[in-house]
Amino acid sequence: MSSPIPRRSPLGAIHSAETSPPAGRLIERPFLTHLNLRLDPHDAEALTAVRQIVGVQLPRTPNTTTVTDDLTVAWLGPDEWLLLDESHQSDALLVDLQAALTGHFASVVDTSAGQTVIRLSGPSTLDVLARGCALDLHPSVFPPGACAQTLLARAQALLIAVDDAPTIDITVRRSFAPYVAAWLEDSGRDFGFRFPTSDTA
Amino acid sequence: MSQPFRLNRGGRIDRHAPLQFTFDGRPIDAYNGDTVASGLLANGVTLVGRSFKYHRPRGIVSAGAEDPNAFVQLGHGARTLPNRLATVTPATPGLKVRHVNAWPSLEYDVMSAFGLVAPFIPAGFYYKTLMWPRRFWPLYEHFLRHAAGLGHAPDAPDPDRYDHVHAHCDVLVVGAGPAGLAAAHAAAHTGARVILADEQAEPGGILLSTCEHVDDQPGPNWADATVAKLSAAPNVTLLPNTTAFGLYESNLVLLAERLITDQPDHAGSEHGARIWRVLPKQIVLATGAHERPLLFGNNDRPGVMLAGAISTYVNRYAVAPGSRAVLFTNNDSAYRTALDLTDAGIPVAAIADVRSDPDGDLPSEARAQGIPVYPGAVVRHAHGGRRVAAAELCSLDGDPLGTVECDLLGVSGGFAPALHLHAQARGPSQWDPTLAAFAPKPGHGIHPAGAVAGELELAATLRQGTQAGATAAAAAGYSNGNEVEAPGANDSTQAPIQPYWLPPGNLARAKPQFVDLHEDVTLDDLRLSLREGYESIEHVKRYTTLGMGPDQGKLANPLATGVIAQLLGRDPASVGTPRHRPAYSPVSLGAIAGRHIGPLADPVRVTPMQEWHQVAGARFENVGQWRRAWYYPQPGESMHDAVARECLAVRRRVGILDYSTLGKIEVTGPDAGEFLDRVYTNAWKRLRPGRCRYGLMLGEDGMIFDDGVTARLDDQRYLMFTSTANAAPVLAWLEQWLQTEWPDLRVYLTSVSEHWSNIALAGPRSRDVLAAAGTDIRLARQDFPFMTFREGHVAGVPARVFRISFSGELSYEINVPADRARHVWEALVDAGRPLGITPYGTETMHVLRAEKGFIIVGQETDGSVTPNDVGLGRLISRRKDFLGKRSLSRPDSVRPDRKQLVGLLTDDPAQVLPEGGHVVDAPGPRRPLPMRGHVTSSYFSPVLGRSIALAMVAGGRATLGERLHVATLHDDRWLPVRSCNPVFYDPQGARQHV
Amino acid sequence: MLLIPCPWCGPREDDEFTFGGEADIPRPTDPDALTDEEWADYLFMRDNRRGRHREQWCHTAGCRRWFIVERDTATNQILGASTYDASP
Repeated sequence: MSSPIPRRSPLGAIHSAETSPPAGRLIERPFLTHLNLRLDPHDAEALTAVRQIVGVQLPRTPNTTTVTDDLTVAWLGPDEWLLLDESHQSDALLVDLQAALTGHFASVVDTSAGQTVIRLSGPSTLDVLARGCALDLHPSVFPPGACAQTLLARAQALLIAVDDAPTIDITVRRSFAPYVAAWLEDSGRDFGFRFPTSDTA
Repeated sequence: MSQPFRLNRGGRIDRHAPLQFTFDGRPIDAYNGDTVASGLLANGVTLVGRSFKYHRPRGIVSAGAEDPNAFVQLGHGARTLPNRLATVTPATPGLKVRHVNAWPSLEYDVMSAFGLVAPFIPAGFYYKTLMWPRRFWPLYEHFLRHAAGLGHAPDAPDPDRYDHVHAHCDVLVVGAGPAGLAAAHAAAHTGARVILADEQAEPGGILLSTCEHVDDQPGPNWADATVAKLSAAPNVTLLPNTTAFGLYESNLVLLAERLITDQPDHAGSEHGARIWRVLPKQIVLATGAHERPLLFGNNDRPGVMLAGAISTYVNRYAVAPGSRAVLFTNNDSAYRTALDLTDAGIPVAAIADVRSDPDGDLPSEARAQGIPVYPGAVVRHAHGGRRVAAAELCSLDGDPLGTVECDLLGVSGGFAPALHLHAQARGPSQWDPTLAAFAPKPGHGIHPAGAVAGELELAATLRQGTQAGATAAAAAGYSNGNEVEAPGANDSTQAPIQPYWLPPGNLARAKPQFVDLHEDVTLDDLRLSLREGYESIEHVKRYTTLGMGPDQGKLANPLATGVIAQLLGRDPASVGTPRHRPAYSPVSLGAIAGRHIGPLADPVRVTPMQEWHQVAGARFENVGQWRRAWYYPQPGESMHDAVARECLAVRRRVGILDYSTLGKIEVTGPDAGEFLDRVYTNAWKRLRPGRCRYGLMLGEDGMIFDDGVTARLDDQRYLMFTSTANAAPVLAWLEQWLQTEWPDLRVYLTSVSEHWSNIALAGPRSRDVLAAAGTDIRLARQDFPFMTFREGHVAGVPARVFRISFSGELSYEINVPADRARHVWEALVDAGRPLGITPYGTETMHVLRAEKGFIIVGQETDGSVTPNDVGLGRLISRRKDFLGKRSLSRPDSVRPDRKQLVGLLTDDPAQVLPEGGHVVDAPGPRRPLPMRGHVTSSYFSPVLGRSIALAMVAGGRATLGERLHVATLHDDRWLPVRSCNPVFYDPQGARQHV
Repeated sequence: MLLIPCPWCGPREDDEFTFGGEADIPRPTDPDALTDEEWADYLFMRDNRRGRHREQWCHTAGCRRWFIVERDTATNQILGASTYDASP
């Protein structure tokens, strides 16, 4: 079902042409595959089937992720996960998972076009986020590998701590992305953040 | 000579950095390190404002946030800040300072005539006097507002920056005096994350105001060294210029940081504010204490100051607040002030001490210096007008002891802990007889230290601060074994305070004696309140406005507690104090708004076609947070013209609508059908895959909650559409039932609202457009009938196409992934161009559905409407239970006179009824007329060439064809109408089946 | 501001949550068997208790789970939280 039609990311229209200053980078990571996975965590067979396909255990500890080279699985709830796949083979992963879970009480839903990821990276990242996020993101509390669904300013967001640069990936719903980006630009102004051109717009 | 009251030596001002600001236009010379208040005093300016009610002249009373008088207006134009205290505002070059609450000028205030004609307006005056005659109220109000002006709002949008920050720490230390600095140091030493906030520009607190030593160095030096250590520590955030103004549930503390700019032309001045929202694990409260004023006649005259403030001006700012002083006290601290004044060469003419035998270290030293001390003496009243000129002394029995000339009258009634934050957290406090004040009881994760805990000795304060810091850190999980040693200081012995509230006997009847200087509440007002039965401190507050000014009664309330206790003959502990509420100090509205202003005030949600709509010239309307295309006017078209053109295009050819905002929920699992059966009024289990059905969702009260089409995607998957506004509430509602009531049902719900964009093609030529755009779906009527859906591709993009209609026309709702929706939209527009395809907006959508009598949840319904009320009783299944079903047979749900959906046709076909207009049977003289119902939707229908309206009318369905009238909203007219079937167009529904 | 302890995500500020009213009001298994009064009692009557109160909350901006909070309505102090699995 791969399509030749070019995709548009929700932030494709508001990129400025400035290069990123050293204080921090703020980029969109468009067109990742986002799959919402629901299954009964007591269904060992289903868990195994998923692990064989994605190559990693589903995280069972709240607010944590498990990661492979090109895939992140984030805990969203006791029976709910988000799969973020960079390999750009969304349809294959969706079809494989659906096939593997046939007969199980499970659901795999493609939400790729409905959300996007904004990546903040650099020493001031946490200062910028503290302008609108009530969570304690200090590395002692929110180390790389942690995730949290919360409010960022007035939008719901999934935050994933990627590394100790620090880098935080912010997953937001598509229609909120321009607001969140504008808000981050405004909050990041004091810290030298700029929204650079995305290479995949 | 410039700065005639500047002392030649001492102080923490930078004499090499002179600066000039203005007060009411008059240039004031000062130094870097001055506050506005110290700069004014250095220049002999004592009159800084007029009082709130009587417009009496008022001067600077304190050197801190507790001042009831020193409210001024800073800056001008867009940058002006009202109600800032001169006592805590740093003096900066070029700063414009103006008085508030005097008119036309500070020196000649018209309103002070109030004070001459009717010398005292008693408490309750406004309630009692200005209530009659009623029609004069607007006049009174205007007069009172003018008289009670408290500064001016900016006259243009504020250009300054306002910021909000969330912060977390292990230990928050409020106050950077000796206790706070010691606490922060001890807590930081354990590795805990520490935030130290202080309202002043310079940390140090009382250490900057006295000559005491810490660790064998002058107090200010020790403070500087400690601050340097804390600044260097990576786990400490030091926030000067920052007031902790509120402490809330869960120990959330709000701090307001004044943002001081470093731009050369405005260096050091305020340019906005930042609110810190701090969630600390533990709090050290080191907020100090406020010195209490004393009652005597004319105790509000400029030149009457708190004794401690005099020491601060002398020691910290090198300012002589007067040239000859009298002190009035009931404790030892004023003697320290006397010694400070003597040191600075300012004569102290007398010390009146309430106590009969003051014999501590300090009184002895004062006597040794030759200062005349009057034991057992009080000030009866102050002489002087715009400035105190003399103090009249007498014994406690009222025997005159003479009149002493002075231009400075220092008072000290003891110290009341600044326990505001503790009290805001509903922390308990207790009456401390050695202080004659309330002091906080520790607990609640709050550790008081220093003067706020009732400790007035420096050495003990430092020990207590160190201890509190270490204890708080340990409670937060930090203790590294080697605790820091408390800094050392000399202990001195102080004689006990003797509480003094009311002047004895006939002294009390002298001149006005002010309890609350800001609100002009006098001792007589308190007496009146008690006499009239308002005895509870909260009642006294409301009756007299005690403590209700922007100073929050910091000086007045602790005094009032004692005064009321004595008047009632009760224990002060049982009188209590008015509840402390945030904000401790005024916080500007800009700071509260933060960056949630302008385009960031609220999220603006847009669809992937937003840019296209803009280019096409669409006007937009807000639908919740969504910005939706409303209509697309062509050059020269009015809204009416554009909507008429769009409506006719859909009815005659084809239109295209961006309906991406609809909520979409995938309902998956073996029990999905059963679940839908329980939440919808109609039956779902037997709906075949590939088919769609319209459903109504009710609350348990039987009232319509949402509606929409749901399609069965396959055996175990359904796709539910919800209304735009209810997308989130419906999902939450469904999850609530699944998780709390029916956990046995195997159903998963996933929102796909944003993944799928929804493009509606509507009109007789819509099939042709879809075919022309390119699709692998077979479109023939028999292959793809009404109320079915097909999966395939449209314009090369994977699509789910639903043959459903909200216009009554042949219609396809095309769902495509949002990242390619713009492509599909443009392909459809291109393909439809030869067929006259017309983009239409929400207004046309509303007209088209109203022509068909289709309801909109929230427009025809309002939470009190059942399915039967809107003529959808046929959707109620008899064979199963569902949410809300039982309520449909409640007596109220089956009343025959319930409001029911009807159509209304005006006699004049050009007349469009006002939405919301009242429906009555007939106009008549009786008012109010019995209301029959209301108009819910009203439009001009282009295809019918006349106006149409939907209305909810009591018993309406039984009386179609009846004559009714609708009220216009703005003039007293009644429009004659007839009720009719609410389906105005194509009542057989033939057009959507073609 | 109330810090609400989500049993899954830990303590979060109250604006991440939706209040769902008093807990422990099961839906009648056979509504048709109830009198109008009994049904109205289920629909409308709540204890509005002073003191310990069991109530439903949903972590709307987080894990979307409904759970039960025990709160003292007089002091607003939160005494505990539990998942539906764990509740009796």
